[in-house]
Amino acid sequence: MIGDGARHGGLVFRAGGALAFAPVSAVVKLVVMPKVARVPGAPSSLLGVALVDGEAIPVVAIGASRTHMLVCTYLGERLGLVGIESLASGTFPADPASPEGVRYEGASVPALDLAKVYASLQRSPWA
Amino acid sequence: MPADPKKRRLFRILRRTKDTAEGGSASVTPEAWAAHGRAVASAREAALAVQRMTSSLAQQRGAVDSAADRARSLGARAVDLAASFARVNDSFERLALVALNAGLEAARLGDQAGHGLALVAEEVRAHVGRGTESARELSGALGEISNDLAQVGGHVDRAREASTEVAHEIARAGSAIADAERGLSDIGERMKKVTGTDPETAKAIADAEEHARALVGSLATLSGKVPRALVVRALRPALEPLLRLLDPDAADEEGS
Repeated sequence: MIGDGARHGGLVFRAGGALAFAPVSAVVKLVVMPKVARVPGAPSSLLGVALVDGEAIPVVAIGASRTHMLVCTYLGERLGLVGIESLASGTFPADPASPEGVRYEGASVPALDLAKVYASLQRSPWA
Repeated sequence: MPADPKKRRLFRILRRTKDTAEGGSASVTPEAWAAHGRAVASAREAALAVQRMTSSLAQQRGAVDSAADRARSLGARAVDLAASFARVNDSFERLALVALNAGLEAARLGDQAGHGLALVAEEVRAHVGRGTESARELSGALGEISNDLAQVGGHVDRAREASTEVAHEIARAGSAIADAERGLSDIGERMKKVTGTDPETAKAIADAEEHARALVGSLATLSGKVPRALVVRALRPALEPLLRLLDPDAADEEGS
């Protein structure tokens, strides 16, 4: 059970019209939109591959914006998320109604489900 | 009793002059020359007006060209400024990312250790927000100014086309006035040939006619009121030169 003073650190952003919260445990950093190399035959949500700190990471689009990229880690792998509009970073009050979620400007913000992102990517057909 | 030869000569001259006058051209000549003179003066004034218009138009054209150059220069400057604003916006976006990353690092450090960093990140984000908003307003204003400048450039181009058209029209008017002046000059030459006078002579004749009428009026006033000898004495200084002027042959005979 989450206490009244519990706070979660991370990034609040908007993607596809909905608010989401990326916890610091999953976030590496925000970077300016890098050059993305398309992967032939890849599903449309996989934009391609980008170089970040000398490492090639897959770039997944979860929205329309292309101004910057959120670099995350999932199961020890780095992943770039684009299509987000970053709103705030820091610590936010935990949302009692949503596990791992936070409250931001009075709204309930669910935690980003990276497993779901990966799963949808794997379900998408490759040409 | 035979008539006085001088009197006969005077009547002969008068008859001959009357025949000539009935020919028509003599009485019309002064008015024709006056009309011709007015036409020449009007044509000359029109030519001067065309010169003044040409000069004014050249000045106006210079001003329009200068305005067009200035508008082009400002347009180019606006394009440079738009590029500068794009760089400013890009810098603000990068700074916003720096502030967000600082906020993430502050969260990683925890509420206690990361408090200072979080405050700095929040402060930077606030400034970035205001700066971005200001840059957006300035960029919008610059876009409006660029549009206005483009419209001004269009208006100036149209003004230049109009002034070119006016210049052509003035040149045509100048050419027409030059033709009219040449035509009036030809008419003057023909009038000289036909009437045997020129404007100065015609004016002198008109003056003489006016004086003659005045003399006749004076004589009518004196008629029957003063002795004839007095009238003849008064007229004598004028009569002899008048006869010599009107009948040079007789004057030559008398002289010989």
